[in-house]
Amino acid sequence: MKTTLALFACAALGCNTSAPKLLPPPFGPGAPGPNRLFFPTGMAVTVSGKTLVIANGNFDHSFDYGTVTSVSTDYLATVFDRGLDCSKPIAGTFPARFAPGCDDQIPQSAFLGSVLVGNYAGPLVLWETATETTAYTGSRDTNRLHAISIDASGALSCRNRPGDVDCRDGVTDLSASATLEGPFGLAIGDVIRAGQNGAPAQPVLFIGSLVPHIDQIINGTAYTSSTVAVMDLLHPGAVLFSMLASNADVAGGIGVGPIAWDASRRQLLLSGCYQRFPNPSQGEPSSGKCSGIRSNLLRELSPDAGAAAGVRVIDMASQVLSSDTSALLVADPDPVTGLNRTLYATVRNPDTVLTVDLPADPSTEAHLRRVTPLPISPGAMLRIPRPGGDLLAISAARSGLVDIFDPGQNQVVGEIERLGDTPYTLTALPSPAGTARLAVSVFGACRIGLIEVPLEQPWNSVLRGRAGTCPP
Amino acid sequence: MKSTFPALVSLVLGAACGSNALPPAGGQFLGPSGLAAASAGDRDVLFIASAGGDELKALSLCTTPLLDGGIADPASTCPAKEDFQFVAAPIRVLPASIETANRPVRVAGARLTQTNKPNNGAAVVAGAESALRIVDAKNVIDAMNRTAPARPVLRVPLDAPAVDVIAANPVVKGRQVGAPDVLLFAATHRSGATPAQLLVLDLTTGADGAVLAPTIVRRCALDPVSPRKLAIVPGTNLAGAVTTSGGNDSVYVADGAGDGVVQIATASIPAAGGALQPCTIVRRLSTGGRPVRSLALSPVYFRPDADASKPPATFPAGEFLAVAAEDGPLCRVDPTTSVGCGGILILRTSDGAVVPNPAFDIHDATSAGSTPMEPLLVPGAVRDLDFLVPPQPGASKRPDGVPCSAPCTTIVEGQGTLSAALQFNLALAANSTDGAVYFVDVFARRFLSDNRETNTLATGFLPQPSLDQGQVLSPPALTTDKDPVHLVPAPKDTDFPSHVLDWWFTAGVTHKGRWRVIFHAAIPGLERRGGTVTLSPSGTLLFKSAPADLARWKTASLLQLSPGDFVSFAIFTAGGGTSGVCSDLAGETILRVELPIVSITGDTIELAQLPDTATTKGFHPDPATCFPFGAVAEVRTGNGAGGRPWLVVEGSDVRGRAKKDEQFVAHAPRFDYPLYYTDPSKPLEDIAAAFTIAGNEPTRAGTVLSFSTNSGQAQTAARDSALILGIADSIFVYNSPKVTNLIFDTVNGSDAVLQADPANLNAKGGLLTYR
Repeated sequence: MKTTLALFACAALGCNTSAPKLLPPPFGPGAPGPNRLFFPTGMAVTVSGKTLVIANGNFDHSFDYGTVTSVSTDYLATVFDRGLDCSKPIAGTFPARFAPGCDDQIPQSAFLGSVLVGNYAGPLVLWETATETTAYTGSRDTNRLHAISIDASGALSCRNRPGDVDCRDGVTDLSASATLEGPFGLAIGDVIRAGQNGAPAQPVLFIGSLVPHIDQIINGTAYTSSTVAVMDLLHPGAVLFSMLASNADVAGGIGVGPIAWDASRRQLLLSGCYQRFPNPSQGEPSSGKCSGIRSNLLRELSPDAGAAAGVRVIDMASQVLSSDTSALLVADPDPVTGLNRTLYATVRNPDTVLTVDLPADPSTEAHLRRVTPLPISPGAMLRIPRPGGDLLAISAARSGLVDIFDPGQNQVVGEIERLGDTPYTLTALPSPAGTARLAVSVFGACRIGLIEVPLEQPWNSVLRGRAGTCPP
Repeated sequence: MKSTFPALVSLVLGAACGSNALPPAGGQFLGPSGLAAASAGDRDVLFIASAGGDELKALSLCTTPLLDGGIADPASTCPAKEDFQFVAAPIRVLPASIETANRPVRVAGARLTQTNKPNNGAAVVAGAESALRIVDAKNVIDAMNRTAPARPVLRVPLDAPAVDVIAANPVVKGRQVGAPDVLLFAATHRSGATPAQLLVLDLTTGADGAVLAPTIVRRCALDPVSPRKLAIVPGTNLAGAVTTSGGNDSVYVADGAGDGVVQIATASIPAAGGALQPCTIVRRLSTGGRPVRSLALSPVYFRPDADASKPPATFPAGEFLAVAAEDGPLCRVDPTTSVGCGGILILRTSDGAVVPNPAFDIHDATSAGSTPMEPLLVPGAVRDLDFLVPPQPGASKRPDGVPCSAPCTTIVEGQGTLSAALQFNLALAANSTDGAVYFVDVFARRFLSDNRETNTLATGFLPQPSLDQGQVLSPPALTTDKDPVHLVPAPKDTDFPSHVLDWWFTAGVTHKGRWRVIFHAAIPGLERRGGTVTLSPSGTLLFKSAPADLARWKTASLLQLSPGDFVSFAIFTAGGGTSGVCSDLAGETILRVELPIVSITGDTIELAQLPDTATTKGFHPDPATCFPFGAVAEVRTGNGAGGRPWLVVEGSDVRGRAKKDEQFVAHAPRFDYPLYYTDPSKPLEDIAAAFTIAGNEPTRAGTVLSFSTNSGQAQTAARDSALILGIADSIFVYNSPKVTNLIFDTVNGSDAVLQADPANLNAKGGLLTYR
């Protein structure tokens, strides 16, 4: 009996002792240390081309928080300039080894700044004006939107507290300001709200909700809804309004994954399917990708209608079997009307890239033009401008590679392998004429892959290096 | 207790390593794509590109016919246990992986003969590298049998990746055979300033019987053609040298960016080694502005003579060109037609024309008053196609054992007891994004239909579309309404082929779908639009909205947004710098009133105000305090478009606007032709449905009359319902002395290969799936 009491006391003490904060690199753990990438997700390059900004998602919770960090593109250029082919191991090596310089750690001198943010950061977007550059990303554990200022040297600080690097509180708690949980999809756009015709369009950030909000649970069934918050970029943190993306009657209350802004039609395109799984016996309902579905909904919203915007739903699965959309990209503006004519969508189950016609005639809905099979789990897309026809770079998470897709040929024309565990997002780096230099965040391997694409011979694309490793 | 584990391990190891091991159970595909068969000594090998694995898989196919009773010919050296089994890897429980390069997507199968040596062959592979890879087919088998070391895969560098590659194998009695030299045709991508090229390569074997790397013997520049796939007339260019005889000396190139297919004379392609010169295009076979994804040329076929005592007439290979066309720039310019839209089309190579619609003979010139056939649409989108090879009359038997006279191409239609094996002069197999293979009766220019057996042969009824669910009014009419609004179907009129059914449902046009006829419907794309309302000098309201392209809705032929239509306001906000909403608007109920549109100019809709009536409050905001104000508008069908307040929608596509007591005829793109359509004097109209709105019109906006339809057309298909992810890629019709018209269909999204015997679709083993 005494032993039991002692154990109970110890357990109670243990539960009531506050654990020390385990800060992520470079703030910790313990004392400040070298900067590292850990589960990098969203990335973007400043207009100046000098700074690559990377969100570290901290998905394994090795630390208590995530970070946003910045890396000098001048350093990355030196990796490219080595001219290595890091897709090919040194002949005769097993396990495979690669040329020296292929797998260097990013030197500390190349890191330009870091700030603390919440966990599970996803996409990251930049908004730049003549006077400021701000990076936005959302944390799905705190529902906070983080705004990080980037100065000309690449140093980072909180947008709402210049000089401060502890940005965990973000600029707004979206669960409170917009009933939005699990911020994920981000897109920069603008709105012309009712009554504001004639005034300049208001620049805004659209924020999608990955985790549907539970409106009510009846007999174990969760009735959910999801929203898209519209935040004023001139006043970060100020949510102008939120738009209903789904509820029990429309789109089944599912959450929103990737989003894209079609400026030509002033429409926000939403994709993805995420749902809540109520478990009456185990506390907070979990969330995750929809399962057992036979639909793949593309949703359209007109933000100019403000909170009254109605969502229009198109089921892409009726045209091609697919249950999940990984990324959206609008492209191909009509030279006469200016309307974008094409929507590219990478979809799962089956793994393909869809080329969807966006008709100018409003009496017909978007319809499938082409389907091109891709490697397992295609994800992010990046448009590579090219005279005579753009290319698309597409990451394939489970295949550890990036494909170069030529929409003009409707074919994968290049494939860059050996990037590592789960290539995630892609961004374009400053490039010499005739080539496109890309950075790809490699989520599971805590690194960025550096890819060089010869524009006229994309099949000769090369992996120039893999920079970074996971923290020890 | 004595452990049995060591014994089990021994057993498993023995089974795995012993010479009597079972062949690998599956292909372990990752994104199967192109496929082709090549000779390999005593058998054929079907090579399947596993694009996601950067490799080929190989299926061993014995070619010696079975003896009567299904007994294996003892003279055959191809073991029955290896027939239709994957070539094994050194660890024999796994399928061999023949590594090529990044993403192999197209494969050509070449057949080579050698004096005093077994036949050999090669798989020639195109993928995402600027080279062709060549695999020695016989060596693959020899390596499996450990009678020879595996030879390295050969590589032929190109200026750019190949889009497609084909082999010009000789054809004898419908079957591909070998030759000492085989020509290969390949098309490459554009590479910078270097245009896309058409290459001719010569493939042969060395003195030791091994396949040699082919040499590029001819090449030319394809600009402005953007090549997608290549085809030659089956059986041409037989002996490794370019021939010029009989007009069968051309290569056809599907143009993925332009219109249709170009024909290039093989002999006109300049010899390699010199400067790159443009290809001499004999002609372009137009598909009405549609780009072409895939193509196939017809094999030799046979038609029975009108005089039954005479032998069937033989028609040369290459008479017809079947294409899988994609949507062209004209598609959906008129959403009610299939003009410019993709699908399966059949062209005549004699005059390059799309064949006429099936009311006319397939050989009739289009100028004889006929119209070209409309594209046939598979469920999903067509991916690839190939002709079934008609068996030789007299030399083969039907599945029921009856000696075959033309027509001999056998396909089973129907299901269960309501099925039958039917014979066709010329048939086409096409696969779709849904993973299934569909069949086209080329002469009838229509899909084969399972309902044909069910309805026509068994019951005498034609496979026709029908009403699936009768009309439903939502919200329901008040009980006091003695004549609620309803639809009166257009009555059938057998004098017109498109009016033979009530509702004028038309076979091949009426889909399975849900129709909604909506009163004062929100116009698609204008369901919610923010804007600013100002007062005009004349007292009308000016709603200025973004975007500034309302002309799109005005000019849309099926919407015709126009004066008389309505705008209803959902939300009012302060506008133009005012501090708040005036009291008139603050108390307004959302979407209460419908303001008639007076005019539409640019981004501005002019609206009339509504005066008060004795019973109803109007809408006339106080000019002094309310303007300007912001509003979110819902634009609705009203009395515009000639007073047509109803919007007719099928699925998500608008079919037009309608009004009470006026017959509405919904046209829609055709997807198939009816079973019997032989009277050219009565042209078909592409009518999906026709009706008249009758009764008392509702008062509530958004009132819906709905009904649903069945197409009645159940296209005969070879599909594995377990392959739910679909996305077929390539189709290949394989013939050997042992099998006839065995179809292989790579189902890329499901990592599987479907094998279908169209003559035995409903029989056990008639449909197999390799994974």
